[in-house]
Amino acid sequence: MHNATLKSLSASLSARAFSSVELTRHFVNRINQLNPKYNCFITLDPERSLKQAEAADRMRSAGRGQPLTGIPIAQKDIFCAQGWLTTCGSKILSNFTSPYDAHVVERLNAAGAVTLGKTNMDEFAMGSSSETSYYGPVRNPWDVDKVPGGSSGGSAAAVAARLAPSAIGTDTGGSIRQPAALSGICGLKPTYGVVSRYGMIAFASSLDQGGPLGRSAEDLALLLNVMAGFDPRDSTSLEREWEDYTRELGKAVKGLKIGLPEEFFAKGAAPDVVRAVETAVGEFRKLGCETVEVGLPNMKLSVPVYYVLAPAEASSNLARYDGVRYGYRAPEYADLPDMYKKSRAQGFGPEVKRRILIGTYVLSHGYYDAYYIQAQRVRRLIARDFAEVFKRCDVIMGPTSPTTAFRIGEKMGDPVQMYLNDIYTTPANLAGLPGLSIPCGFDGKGLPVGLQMIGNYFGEAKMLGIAHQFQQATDWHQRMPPGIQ
Amino acid sequence: MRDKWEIVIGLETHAQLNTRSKMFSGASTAFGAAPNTQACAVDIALPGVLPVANREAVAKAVRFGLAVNGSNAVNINRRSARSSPAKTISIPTFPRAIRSASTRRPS
Repeated sequence: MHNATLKSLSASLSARAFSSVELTRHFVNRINQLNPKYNCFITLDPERSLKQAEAADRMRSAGRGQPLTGIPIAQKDIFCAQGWLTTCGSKILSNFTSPYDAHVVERLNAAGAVTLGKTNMDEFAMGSSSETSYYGPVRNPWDVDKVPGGSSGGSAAAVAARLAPSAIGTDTGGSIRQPAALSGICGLKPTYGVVSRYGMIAFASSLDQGGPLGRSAEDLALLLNVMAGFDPRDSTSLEREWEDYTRELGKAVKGLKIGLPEEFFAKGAAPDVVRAVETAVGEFRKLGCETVEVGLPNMKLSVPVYYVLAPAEASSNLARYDGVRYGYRAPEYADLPDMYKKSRAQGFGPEVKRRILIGTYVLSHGYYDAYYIQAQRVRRLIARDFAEVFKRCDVIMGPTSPTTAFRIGEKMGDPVQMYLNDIYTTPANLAGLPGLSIPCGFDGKGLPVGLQMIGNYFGEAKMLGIAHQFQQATDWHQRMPPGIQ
Repeated sequence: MRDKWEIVIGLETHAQLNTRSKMFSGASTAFGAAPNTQACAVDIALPGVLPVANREAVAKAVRFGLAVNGSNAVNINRRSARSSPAKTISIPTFPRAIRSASTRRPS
C-alpha cells in the first residue's frame, strides 16, 4: 500500500480493494513505528484522520468520489488547519491551534483527502536543512545522520520513507525543491499566484508559494489539480480558468528545446551532482530533445538579493507574534514592552532572530535605498534574464542543489554556507517562475541527486509532462532508501 | 534670507468612508455594536491571514478625488496598480504590522 502511487491508490479505493480507513490505518501504523527514527511529524491525530477517512469512504460509496478522496496527505505545519496544532516549527506558536483552514486545506478537505498529520520544518520556513525546528531536526531516510533538506524537510522525508503517499509544502527560496532533491523525491513550486497563500503562514510574501511533494510527476499533477485555484482572500492569487495539470503527461518530448545555463554547471556544484544531471540531460537527448546553451548573467546575484528581500518581508510578517492574542507568552515580565521583548526573545530561535534583524536593518531609514530598493532592481534584472532565455528554449535544466545531503550540524555554525545551498533555487522564486525537482541519480555515497527544471510562467503542465516522460524511461523515482520495503 | 521664503499651507483632511466593511478585511464597520463582534481573523492578525484592499473604498476615494478635481485621484490609481513600499509599524492597535507608507511615490 505504501509504495503505491496516488493514481493506483485512487483506483484501488474506487474498486473497493481496500477502504480509506484501512489505508489511513496502514500509514498511521507505519508512522508510529518509524517516525521516532526520522522525526518527520510534529503533530499526529489518528482519531481525527480516521474520522476523515470514514467520511471519505462514505463519499465514495455515495458515488461522490474524486481522485484524492480517501487518500492520506501529510501537511507541512505551515498550513493552518482548523482544530490542528499549527506551529510553523516555532516555540512561539507551540500552543496555537488554528481556528480556520488555509485555502489549500479547504480544497484538500473538499476533495475528500485525509489529513495524515502536520510535518516538521525549519522554524518559519527559514532554513535549508530542517534543523532550525523547535521540534528537533528531521533525519534523511537515505542516511539518518544527514539532513533531508529544508524547509519542507518533514514532508519530503515522510514521502521518501513511505510514511505518506504525498505531502504538501511551501517554497520561498527552494523549500520544496531542495528537500525533494536531497530526499530523492519529486517536488513542484508553481508559478507565483497559482496556489493561494491564505492560511499559509507568511515568511516572505512576494516569494512564498505552496506546492506538492510526491514520488512521481504524475502524483504532483494530481495533487496540484486540487491545490491550485483562485482565492479572493489572497490579493496575489491569480484569477484563471481551472486547468488539468495531468493533460500533458502523455505528450512526447521530441523536438523540445532544453536550455542549459552555464551558471548552473559552473564550479561550486559537486562533481557527482553535475555528472548525474548531465546523464539525465543525455537521457532527454535520447528521447529526442535538443539542448541549447543559455546564459543567466545576473543569476549569481540571486542569493544576495534573496537574503535582502526575504528577511525584509519576514521582519514585517513576524511582527504580529507578540504574545498578546495567541502563541507563546513569557511567564514573567515587568510591563507591556517587556512582555513583547521577553516573549519574542524566548519564542523565536536564533535563525529567525537573525533574519528579523537583517530585515529590520535593510528596511531602516538610510539603508532602504542601498539595500531594499537596490535588491528589487536586481530582482527585475534576474527576471529579464529568464525572459530572454525562454525566447530560445522551452525549459531550463540544471541541478536543484549544489550538493547532496550534508551531515546534521555541518552547516549550522556557518549561515552563509547554509544560504549558498539555495543558489540554484532562489532565481525561480525571485522571477515568480515554476520550478520542479525530480530524482536523477545518486552520488558515490548513495545519496540522491535532484534534477531541476525551470519553466516559463504557467508552464506547470508542460514541465510535469516532460518529467513524466523521463520517469517512463528511467526508474530513479522508484528507488527506495535502504531499509525501506 | 527671510525674504526668500514663501509660506505655503497645506491641509490634510481625513474622512471616514461609509463602506460596510473595513479597509483591509471583511469585518463590519457598523457603529455601536457589541465589543469584539466587529473583528475577524484578519483584524486580529492570526497566523496566515492576508489583508485584501476594500474595492468599494478605493472606488469611493477615487470618485471623491475626481469630484474635487484633485490630482490625488490619479495618484491613487497609480498606487493601486503597483506595489507601494511597505513600512513596518508595530503598535498594539495594529497587530498586522504591515502598513503602506506614503513617503515615496511608486517609481
